[in-house]
Amino acid sequence: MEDSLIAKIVGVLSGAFLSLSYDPPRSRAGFLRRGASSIIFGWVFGEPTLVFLEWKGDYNSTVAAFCLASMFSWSAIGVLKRIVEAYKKES
Amino acid sequence: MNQYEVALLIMALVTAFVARGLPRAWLWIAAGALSFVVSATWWRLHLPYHPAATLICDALVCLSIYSLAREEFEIWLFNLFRLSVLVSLLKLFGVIQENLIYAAALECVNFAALLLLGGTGILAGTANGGHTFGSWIGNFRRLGRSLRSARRSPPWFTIPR
Repeated sequence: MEDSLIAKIVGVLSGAFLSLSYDPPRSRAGFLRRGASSIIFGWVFGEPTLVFLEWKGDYNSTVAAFCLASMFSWSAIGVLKRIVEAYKKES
Repeated sequence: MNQYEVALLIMALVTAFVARGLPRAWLWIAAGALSFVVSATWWRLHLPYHPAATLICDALVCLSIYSLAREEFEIWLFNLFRLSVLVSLLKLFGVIQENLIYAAALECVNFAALLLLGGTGILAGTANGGHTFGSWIGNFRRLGRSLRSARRSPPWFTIPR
């Protein structure tokens, strides 16, 4: 397996683990939802995070960026949901 | 061992003595001590990614407290270890740059955790007394009872859906 793929997998899984242990879900369904969203959003937004933060694409930075994206994905979804709800109320 | 580690060790022993009526406090003192020893050894051996190792140790303690907690004081302890995880995260992402500030913040969290366990041990002793000494003692008793009450939200894996 190539090095960057391992870095991405390690980053996404560690981000999901940290997200779930830092703020545990309330039910099994919540665990599945949050675990899945952490892994998917971490995988999708890891690369843009790396570019946005202007980090070098080495092993450590890749792990950190994918971990960051995976860890904060659920909070980011929550913030987006609140913005949409506030917009709906206004309109 | 440096002076901070000696102070922490003495405080852990005093806390274990004070909280001798609370076997679960002993469990968490042991878990915190194990996490501290692994993290300090990692640092002493100059192994790479020290904040990441500390982060993983604290996150594992967090997970075990969350899974096994039965009383409310354990949930407070869980929140303190979450703070420790947050400190390591801030160090990892470069928000905390000074090693001294990082170490001091972790020490503060460890001291707070020991104070919580020791305080719960002391308050647990006063919670069931027969005398009423006045309102402020009454407040301490209420706090003691609140800390020793059963946890309010069960862990997620025990809830069916």
